[in-house]
Amino acid sequence: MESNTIVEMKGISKRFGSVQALNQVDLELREGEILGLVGDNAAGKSTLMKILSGAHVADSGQILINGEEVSIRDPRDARSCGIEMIYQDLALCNNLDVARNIFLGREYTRGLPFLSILDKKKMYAESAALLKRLNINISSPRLKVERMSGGQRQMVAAAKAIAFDAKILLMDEPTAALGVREANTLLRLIKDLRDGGHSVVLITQRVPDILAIGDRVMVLKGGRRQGILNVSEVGLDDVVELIVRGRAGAESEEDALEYLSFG
Amino acid sequence: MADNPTPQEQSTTEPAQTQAASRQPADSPPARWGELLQWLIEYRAFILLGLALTYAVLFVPFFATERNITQMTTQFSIDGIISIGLTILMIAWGIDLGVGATLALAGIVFALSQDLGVPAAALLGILAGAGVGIVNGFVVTRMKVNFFIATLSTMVAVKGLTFIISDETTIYGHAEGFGWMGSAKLGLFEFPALAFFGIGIIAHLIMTQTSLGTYWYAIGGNADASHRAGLNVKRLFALSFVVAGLCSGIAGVLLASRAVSANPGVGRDTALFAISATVIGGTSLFGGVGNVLGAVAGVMFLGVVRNSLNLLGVSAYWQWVIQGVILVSVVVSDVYMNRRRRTA
Repeated sequence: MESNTIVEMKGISKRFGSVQALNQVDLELREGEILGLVGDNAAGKSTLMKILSGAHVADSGQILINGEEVSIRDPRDARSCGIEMIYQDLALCNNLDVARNIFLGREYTRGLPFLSILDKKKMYAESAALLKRLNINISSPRLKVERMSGGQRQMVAAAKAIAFDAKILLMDEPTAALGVREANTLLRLIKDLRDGGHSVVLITQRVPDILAIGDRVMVLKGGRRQGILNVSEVGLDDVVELIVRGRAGAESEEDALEYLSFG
Repeated sequence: MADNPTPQEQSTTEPAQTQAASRQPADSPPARWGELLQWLIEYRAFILLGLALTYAVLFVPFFATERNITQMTTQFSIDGIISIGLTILMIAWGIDLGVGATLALAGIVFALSQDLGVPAAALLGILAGAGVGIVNGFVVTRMKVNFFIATLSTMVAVKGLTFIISDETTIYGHAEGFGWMGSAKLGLFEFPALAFFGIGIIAHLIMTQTSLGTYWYAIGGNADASHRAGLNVKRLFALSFVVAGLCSGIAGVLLASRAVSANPGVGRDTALFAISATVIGGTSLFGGVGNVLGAVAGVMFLGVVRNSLNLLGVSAYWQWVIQGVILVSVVVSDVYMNRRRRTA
């Protein structure tokens, strides 16, 4: 299936002190696909996504959205391009309920301009509809987030991101802290989002996750792009080989085992 | 591809189980008990108030007389207004140790400017309180000083300033209507009590019905997340200090009006009473949690206890001991709840 490229990052480099975190990395995200971003620790996955979401600014390189070059200097710029990052350490307020989290900073209000009164009815109704549309199993948008499991929190974070027309979702290890069932529920949600037309970059250590729901997978190593594979044409071994390629034979075999054991 | 044990297969074959698993933390029986405990702790002030009132009405002589009720409500209301401001500040994860000094300054400013007319003078006194809040907010958010140190320092400076401008003496009210606010009466209640309940209702509505209230909860719960959501965390935090200052200013003006004089040395025990009442009312020392109605009940509870001990002839020193014990036990339960919340 050919589709338009929605995000293009060209020649992105980033240095932290003496560490070259990213070296001339390219990335293309197509419209309505799930792109897996895999690699060892310190391969530069998170740094690359933080640059796209405005948390870091690249030393050099270009970012194009729908073919037009954009300047992303902070999270607000990214948001106005329709890009939303869902962080590993969740950006939710645990002391607030689901609806207040989803609408935080963008509440429906009415009445006085200097003291805007919340339109709670509308916020709860829309939150409930959103949860239902995304098949998220949370019984009420009035529940406080602190009473929820890790997976439910991830799903609220995802709902928060797409509630306001984020077309491009960047997810950093969303399943890392979850049990198998919760992880599967979340993966299904990500797939539903893709099917609903969203484009997703999924950073993960669990290669099988990507093989299950992803369209393409891009491998980073030592801040360089190693390659990009079509999920339908490859298996776990191919990806793992690319992740560990370039190391001494014995070591890489051990590493490969380690990766395989994630599945 | 075929030999991969893919999660996709699992995810499509067991939706029912997955749903049950993800619903479990909210509704299972142990969580229900936890919920009950949490509910009891959240509304502890109302329960304590009910117990204290029952005891006082049944066993404390002269408690349930019209005159005592009027006096008692006026007494706790002046410090209570400060508790309401502190509740908002503490929900935003701040604290102000200098509310007593601000109270004294506001009274002195009110008395010193009474020749401008009582309404204008009262406004100046209240603004003086808000001004202290602005300074606190500025020092904490712009100069990044820890709020304990910041408000302790402002407290000392404000105290000094209050003694300087008052020339170390009590200033008596001579303007017409100076004492009106402190003594006007409607039914059982005097004006300070009506102001306390009125401000309590307004603050409750702000915290539960407006976006501003939600923002204060949000920054107290997770400042990082609030920042990422686009909130101006610094300005909101600074504003919560102004609210505490404003309430201290109102209390100071009411106190001076009631005494028909302003004394630069008042307010020594104010912070202790106000913070105790706020924490009893369910506001956490760790930010993000609390409610105004609870603080109102906490104020009333402490007020009833203090009044009953007075009527029973318990010495002031024992009263301090009792108040200290109450505060410690409430703080301990708050620390316990906070640990539960963080690990939940």
